[in-house]
Parts: sequence; structure tokens; C-alpha cells
Amino acid sequence: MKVALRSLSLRARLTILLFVGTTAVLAVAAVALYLDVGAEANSAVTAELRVHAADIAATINQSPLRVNQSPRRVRGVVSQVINGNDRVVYPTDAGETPLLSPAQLTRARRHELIVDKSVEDLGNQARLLALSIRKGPKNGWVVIAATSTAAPHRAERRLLLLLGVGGPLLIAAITGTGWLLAGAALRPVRRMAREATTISLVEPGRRLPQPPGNDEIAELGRTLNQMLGRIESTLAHERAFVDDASHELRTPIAVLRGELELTALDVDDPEVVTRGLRSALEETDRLIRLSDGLLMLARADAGQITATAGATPLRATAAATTHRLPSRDGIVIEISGDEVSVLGDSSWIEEIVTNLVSNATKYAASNVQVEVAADEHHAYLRVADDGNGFAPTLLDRAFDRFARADLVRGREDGGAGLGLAIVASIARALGGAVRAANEGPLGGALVEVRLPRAS
Amino acid sequence: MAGLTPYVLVVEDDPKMATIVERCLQRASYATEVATSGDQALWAVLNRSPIAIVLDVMIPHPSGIEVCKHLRREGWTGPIVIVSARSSPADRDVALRAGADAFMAKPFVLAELLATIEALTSRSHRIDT
Repeated sequence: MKVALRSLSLRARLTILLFVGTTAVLAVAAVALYLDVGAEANSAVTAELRVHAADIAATINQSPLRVNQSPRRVRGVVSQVINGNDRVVYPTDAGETPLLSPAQLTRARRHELIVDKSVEDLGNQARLLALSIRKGPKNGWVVIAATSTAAPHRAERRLLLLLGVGGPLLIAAITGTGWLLAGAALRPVRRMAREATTISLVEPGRRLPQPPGNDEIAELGRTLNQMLGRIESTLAHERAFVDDASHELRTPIAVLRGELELTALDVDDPEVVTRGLRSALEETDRLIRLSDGLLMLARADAGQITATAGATPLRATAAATTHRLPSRDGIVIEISGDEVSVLGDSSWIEEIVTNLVSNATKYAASNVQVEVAADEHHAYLRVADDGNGFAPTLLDRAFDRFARADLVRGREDGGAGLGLAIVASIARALGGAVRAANEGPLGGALVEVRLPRAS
Repeated sequence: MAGLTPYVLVVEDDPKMATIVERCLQRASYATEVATSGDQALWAVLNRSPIAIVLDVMIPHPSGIEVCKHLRREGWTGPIVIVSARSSPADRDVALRAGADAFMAKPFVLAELLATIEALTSRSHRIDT
């Protein structure tokens, strides 16, 4: 049943729910109404008979009727007075034969008796109420009052007919209205669904039709459109990364291929061959560096860089790594600060230092400063240079992959723009953070890496 | 340096790639000039019109595609060969729609680049005469 319901549309399910609920409520209400009206009619008939019978009984006791004098007639009600010998004492429209059997009269002398039966002149549907007189000279006499119940029964049948016909019509009307309302309420959702099937990533910027107002449907539209925006942004970011990676990989391969092609044309010229081979080697190294960088980022993305690999002395590692890096003429590198241990394998810290110091050395005018500092929970590695600093447009995305600092700092020694991205990936993987700024202590760029201290 | 002789403008921000293309063209007796950004390229064409342009797509502002569109919009009709590290049919389509005469994906064969430029420049010359 549940599976069958789930296969229906929401509109159909809401309508079915409304139908079932309305039917249940109306059925209960109809049964209650029918029973209440029937009980009320019966109760009214009985009360009328009781009043009439009591009236006759009081009349007999207080002013005994003379023989041949009938009790007071009430329209629609017939009565009999039966003496202790079960004989009709006063003649009435009901004839000389008691309306009740001797056994019923005996029961009536013990307590009030109500009987539904066929009575001549009253038709097939009549109610009889019998009261006994319990004191005075008429003790043991029974007063019977009877009336037709055909009218109340007809009213009950009419009510039943009304409920039987009107109820289903009312249910149909409510269900139909529910179907139309559900359709109207869900129309914006259907429009959004139709539009969603036509949206593809080939046409960026397309959005679902935004329903007006501030209700749940409108909120759904806003939320879905915001999600589309985020997906587009992520995909654009990834596409840009693939484009950049493609460019950075294909360019050295193109240089390598061109160099070999040109060299092959002058294979007898030792100078050309030497130059070609040297250039080919440089491009091969460039490809290796690039693939290493991409591999490092892929490992960071895959969660393979963690802070659980032990503690590393930050200052000693920074000093040793800096000394191993190739120097650049005229650039002085100064290392300062006290020793502090950070969480993470030494190879990750060396990677951070290598990228930061290489970057600073590349763009420094004459000085690079490497500073190690710490507070209660964190250690800081700050690398500053006296170069031109980051271009304002680059500062916000300095740690993006392929940020291409060379675009503004000059291409000659520019890398692929992966160095700071690698630093950021490792730092974040180790639970730290990165920050880039201009106007550092040496007047140029400043890059700060914050790492958790080892306890 | 091209001097006052007809020259091919090489627009390429990677110095080694630019040198390779220059050497290839110079071996075929073309004079060359190198521009490393879109702005430099537009300035070079404005300063002295080349006989052909070898134009990389991913260069500093504006991009190679924008340079190509701008030149065509301004009425420059010389041959433009776009070279790109992006090689999908869509990239080729974008380049040709921008007004390029030819599209070559990196890494390309230098001899093929040379043949393309020779074919385009000779055709351009025939049209001019």
C-alpha cells in the first residue's frame, strides 16, 4: 500500500488523504447525527405518552370518572384504563380489548412499560406506554397511552436519505476542491521541475523560475537557485583548474617538442645540439616539478596529509631546509626566532618552507626574512621579502591553485602558481591556516603559516 | 628584432615557448617580435602592423581570444594563428569564431605552424595584390 502510494504524485496523495479524512469525519458525524435525531424523536414520543398517561391516572384518582365517561382525548393519542381484572374500564377509541396482553399488564403493574407494536387506528408503527396506579381505590389499575410513531420514523428515513445522498456529494466536492487547490499550490513546483530538466552546465547563469511571495515554495525556489549558483561556482573553479593544469603541462611539453624538432634540423651543429639538450632538460625538470606539485595537492585533497605523524622542530627544520635551497645572487636570507615544535611530519614542514622561501627569494630585491614565533597553542612561520609585494588583485587569491603570481610579478622565473597553494593545502591539512599580506617587515610581501604546537 | 622589415608577431607569455617559435620562424627568414601580454600585442599591432600573428590564448590581460576579437573589430585583416594548451573542439570553435584563421593545440609540430603561416601570408599577399 505504502509503495503504491509513493508511486503516485504528491497531488494525488494529498487528494487521497483529503478524501479518506473527509469520508471518515463525515461518516462519524452522519452516524452520530442519525442516532441522536432518532433517540431524540423516540424520547419526545415517550415523554408525551408519559405526560398523557400520568394526566389520566391523576384524573382517575382525584375525580373518579363516571361509568360511560371517557378520559380526556388528546389529538393523535389513544388511551385505555384497565382495572385490576384486566378489563377496560372506560370506553375509548382503542376499543374494549386491552391493548396489552395479560402478561404485559402484569409487568406494567410492577414498573412503567413501553412497547412498540401495531395498533388498530394507529397503524403498524405505534408506541404504547403503560403506567399503574399504586395507591387509593384504583390501586392496580393500569393506564395505557398510545400514539403513532410513523412520523418520527419518516423523519429518520428522510434524514438517512439526505445523509446518504448529500454525504457523498459533499465528499466529492471537498475532494475535488482539494485536487484543484493542490494542483494550484504545486504548479510552481511543476514549473521549476520542467525548467530544471532543461538546465545544463553548458548555459551557465540559468536559474529556476522563482515563485513569488515568501512561502515554503518560494523558499524552495530560492534555496535551489542558490544551490545552482554554488554548483556553478564550484564547477567553474574546477574547470579553471583543469584549464590551468592543461596549460601548465602542455606548455613545457610544447617547448620540449619544439626544442627537439629544431635541434633535429641542425643535428650537425654541436652548439645547437647542446643548447637543445640543455633546454630539454630544463623543461623536463619543469614537468617534474609540476607533476610533484599536482601530486602533493592530490594527496592533500585525498586526506593523506595528517597531523598524527609526530612533532617537528620548526626553526631547525626551517633553517636546514633554507640552507639546502639554491641561493640567488645578492639575496640575503635571515632566520630568527626561538625553537618550537609543531604537529606534523618533517617532510610536510620542509615542503612549506621550501615553497615559501623559494617564492620570497624569487621576488625579493635583496632580503628575505624567515621568522619563527609561537603563542600558547600555535607556532607561526613568517616569510617576508623586500620585493614589490602581491598585486592587489592577486592578494585575495594568493593561495589559489595556478594563481600565477608571474602575471603581475614578471614571467621570467615564474612557476606554475602552485607553491602557495601547496603551502595552504598542507597547513590546512595539519590543522593550521595561512595568511598573505603586503607591507611586511621588509616592505614587500609577507606570508604567514600558523600551525598547531606539539604538546 | 624586426626593425622595419615585415615581421610576424609572436604573442606568448612563456619565454621559452616564445623563443622556440621565434627560432622556427627566423629559420624560415621571417623577422619576429614577441609580446608577452594582450596589451603589448595590441600596442605592437597599432605601432606597426605585422604580416601575421601567432597568438597564445592564455596570456595576461586581455586574453588571446579578446585580442583576436579586438583586432578583427578594428578591421585588422592579417592572418592570425591561435595556439592554445586547450584542445577541445569547443576551444577551437571559440578561436575560429573570434576571427582566427587557424587553430593549433599545444604541443604542435613547428613545421606545421610554419606551413600554416606561409600559406596564410601568401594568400593574404595574393588578396592584397
